[in-house]
Amino acid sequence: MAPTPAVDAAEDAYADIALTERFQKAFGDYVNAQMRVRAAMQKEVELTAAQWGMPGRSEVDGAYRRIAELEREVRRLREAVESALASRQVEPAAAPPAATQKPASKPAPTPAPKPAAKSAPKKSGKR
Amino acid sequence: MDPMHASPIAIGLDSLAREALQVQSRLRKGMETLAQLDPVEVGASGREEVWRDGKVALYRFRREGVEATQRIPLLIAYALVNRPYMVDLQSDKSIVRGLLERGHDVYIIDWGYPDRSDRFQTLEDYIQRFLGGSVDHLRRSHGVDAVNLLGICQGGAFSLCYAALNPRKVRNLVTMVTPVDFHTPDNMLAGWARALDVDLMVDTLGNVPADVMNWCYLTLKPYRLLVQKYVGLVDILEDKRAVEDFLRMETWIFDSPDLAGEAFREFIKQFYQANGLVNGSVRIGDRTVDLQAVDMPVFNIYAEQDHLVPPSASKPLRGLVGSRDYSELSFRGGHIGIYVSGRAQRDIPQGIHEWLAARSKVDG
Repeated sequence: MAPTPAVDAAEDAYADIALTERFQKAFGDYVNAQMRVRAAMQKEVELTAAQWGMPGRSEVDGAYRRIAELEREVRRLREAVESALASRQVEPAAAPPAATQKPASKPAPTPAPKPAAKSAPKKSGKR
Repeated sequence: MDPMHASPIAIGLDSLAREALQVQSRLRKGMETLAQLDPVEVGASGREEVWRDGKVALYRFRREGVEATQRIPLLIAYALVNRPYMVDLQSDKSIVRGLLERGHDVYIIDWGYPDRSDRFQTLEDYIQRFLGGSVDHLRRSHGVDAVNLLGICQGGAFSLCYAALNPRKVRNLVTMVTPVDFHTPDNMLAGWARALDVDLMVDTLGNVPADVMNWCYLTLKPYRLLVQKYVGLVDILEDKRAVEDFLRMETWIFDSPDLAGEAFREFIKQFYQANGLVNGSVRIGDRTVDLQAVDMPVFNIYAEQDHLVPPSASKPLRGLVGSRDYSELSFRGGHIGIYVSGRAQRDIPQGIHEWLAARSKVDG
């Protein structure tokens, strides 16, 4: 896109205003006011939904928050298990006798790996 | 008319009528062009998914007939606000292709499209879990201790945080159009973000809709991006290839994911409002990001006409990282031109390749 002097001049004039603190404050006030209106509307919708026994945004978000926290906890536990298994590999003498029969390089699957990362099946193609 | 008092804008009835006829003619021919267009496709290089965690996927790029000669994989981390295929948009506009042709084994993280169930994803999730998970997968699959990391825009800020928290897992760090100092006076976007009540915004919206973000970006240069671009479209309507390129770019611009609410909250507060990379106050989970811990070689690429990440926002990285091997590449172009312009195809892959090749010789 080839710049044109008129457009450049308009952008420069706009930038002179848009970079000022006064503009930034007005921009922030405008967006914040819109958010307050929307929050108030959502509250009304939620109250109405509650009257009809329907779950509102807060309730659903509460469930999502718990899922996110559980996912993080699963990840922490998985890393702890993997770390423990790795240290058993490094120190075979410290491992219990059963581990010598079943090499630690092929450990039994750890529980609850569902939300954790995994190598994906090979898939090719463009978007 | 006395030339001293002539208007600098020469508009007469004749010229107006002539231009109106021209525009009409182009629009009519443009209809024929539009009728011949195929659906817009993006992506130049083949790719395969090699790792996934939820909606986040790691892809390996492939180019038929080209084998990777570089031992250390190169992982690209793009921003959350747009789709990563910008680096591989079409065959003649692909940074990825340039890197593949120079023998690099190129991977990219696709952050996916977050929905409401992802609202509580934090920066720790994005940086340590997803970016870290991708790095760990590459370390395992390539049998290396550390990978080369190329962070772009917000992905560059993520890469800086990751490298600071896990310096032994990053061999060489390349940052491209990456904001570091968010409080420079010429940074319009950062100025606007400082006045936002981001808690109210995220508590109200949950995830931040892509349309909100796009409108914000467009209004940074409203005359160019909302007017001139579309007026200019009339001039290229007769050129099928130019229209296809235009539509491909439009597809990318408006193919934007919503932003996970908690990550957005943390990013705006810590980076835009508190200028945390400069002040050393960024917290990822329960750890503080100290850029002095970034002690691997760093290559910082910025664009001279970048209105989203001005050079002044990117160049302070030099004084903040702990690395003794810091280099810069100044690109003559803008935030988008650095991926798609002809000059970018020449300069960016070659610049990255030369810099990495010199370090791989040192690394052995």
